[in-house]
Amino acid sequence: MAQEERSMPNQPVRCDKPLGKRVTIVGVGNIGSHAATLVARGDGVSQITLIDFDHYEPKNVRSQDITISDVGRPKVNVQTRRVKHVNPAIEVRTICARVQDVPLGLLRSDVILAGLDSRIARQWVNQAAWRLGVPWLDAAVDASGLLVRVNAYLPGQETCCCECAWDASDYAATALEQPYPCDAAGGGTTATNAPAALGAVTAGIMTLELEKLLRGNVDHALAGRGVMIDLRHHTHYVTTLTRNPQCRFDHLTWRIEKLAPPPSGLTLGQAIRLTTGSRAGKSDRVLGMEGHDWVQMQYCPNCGNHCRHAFHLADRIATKDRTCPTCQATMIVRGFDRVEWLAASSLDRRGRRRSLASAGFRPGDVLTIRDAEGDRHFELGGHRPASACPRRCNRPMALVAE
Amino acid sequence: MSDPVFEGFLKQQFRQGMALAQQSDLLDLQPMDPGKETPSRYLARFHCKGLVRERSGSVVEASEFHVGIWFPSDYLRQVDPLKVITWLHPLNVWHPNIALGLPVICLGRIAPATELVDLLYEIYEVITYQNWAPHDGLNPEACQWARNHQDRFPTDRRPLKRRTLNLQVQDAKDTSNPS
Repeated sequence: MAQEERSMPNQPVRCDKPLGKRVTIVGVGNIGSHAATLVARGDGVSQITLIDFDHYEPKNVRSQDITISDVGRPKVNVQTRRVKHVNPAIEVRTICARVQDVPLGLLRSDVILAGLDSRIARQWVNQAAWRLGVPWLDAAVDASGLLVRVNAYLPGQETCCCECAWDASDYAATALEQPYPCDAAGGGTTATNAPAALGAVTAGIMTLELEKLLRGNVDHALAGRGVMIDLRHHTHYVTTLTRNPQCRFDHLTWRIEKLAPPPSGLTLGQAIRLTTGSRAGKSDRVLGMEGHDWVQMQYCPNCGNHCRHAFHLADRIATKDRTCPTCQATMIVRGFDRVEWLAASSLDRRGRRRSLASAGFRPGDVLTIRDAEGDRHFELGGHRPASACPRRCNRPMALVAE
Repeated sequence: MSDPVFEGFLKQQFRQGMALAQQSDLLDLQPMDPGKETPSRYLARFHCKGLVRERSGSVVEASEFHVGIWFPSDYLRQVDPLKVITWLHPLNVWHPNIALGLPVICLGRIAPATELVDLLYEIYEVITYQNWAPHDGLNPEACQWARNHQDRFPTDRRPLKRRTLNLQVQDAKDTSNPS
């Protein structure tokens, strides 16, 4: 056996009896950069999805599991290469984007791991995990107090989510991350800059909990509990996470029906008719996507024109469609013109024939049809490789790095 | 599916907002979801004194300002100020913290679940120059102008909410000089 291993150095270190589990890692910084290779070394994981919008900077060499040669490269590409060096059998999907911009269906996995420094990103992961019904592990570090924390959340109407423990001051802190009109710097988060060892400890705990969850060993896993270790005083605490009845998050888990056609293969009219079996009237139906608004009007700040066009998802209007036809300036969407739901009755014949892709939908997006009987959710098919990294390098980037 | 926590919030905003509008001589508040018990969209009309710049370049007083307020369904959890508050009229408003020609007014950071009444008070204070940032505003020219014309501010000193005066009226006979 030992001779065999020596003669085949490129074989995976451990990939015996794969359970075919899929894991999503959101954020590959201080914690996630360590977690990626630890997860790849574990048993049973056949697919890892890595999500991070950022590139490695020189200061990251001190705090994250990278080398000097990785500086300047997209974080997800660096970690994909490292995972592949550990276990070539693992399929790695890399998504170079903020988690808020990733279609919900692409986050679908058996467990989601998050090592994030942004409260807003953490809210999104929490919401996505609940909608998909996927357990998630939330890890964080506090460099000044040498504290590490891992919480495990199991989606359910009566189980605790990450926002259950938030009070008004926590929500106010999310406002610090949001850009506001007078702020030229534009919000953002502060880098943790924690020692790499702190991230490694946290990633280790998180990976061990992941393996328990993947093997169904829920009794010994941190299910609905959190562990915090104070490494300065060598104490450790386990907390049971309880549901807050006044939590601002609705705690709804969705039953999502998968559709084969991609957004380009389905029209708005067909999408609205997806709930044909419903007893509710056709005119009562509305279509929407969580976290996105519809807009039919753009405003030109240069010439004051109001440009009316077909309904489109407000945050996904292509640059060319934002050009004012009169003065060629870039038009903007007014907050007051946004609506969350597109009513079936507001679509004319031409509007009903438009494809979902032309309205801004992407493969993996989950659309919701609401009528008097309730909500139904549909995931669009046709996952394709991402076109290009949105930051700096602009080179074509494979979504599936196989 | 409606969220009871958010619905409760909207109901409270409607009640408080309409109560403030009733007690104000300077504010009209119009819910934009007709027939809905819990409107999420309002048109606020302020009939107070603010400033606009005319085509000739002169800065003059105006007395009608419109602002749109919308509470998206995730308003209790996260806020994008550009979504929530839209400056509607007039677009030639002259203020350091309101963009000239753009539908944007800056109230700084808005915490999730900030109440409608608080937003209305903040907007009123901005329009009437009771609250303005002298630096890094949306209209740098107005910033510079405002720094040199501080004697004109605030442009309106009236309180947004009508104050009831408890005047003690005495009978004229009682105050007459006893002789």
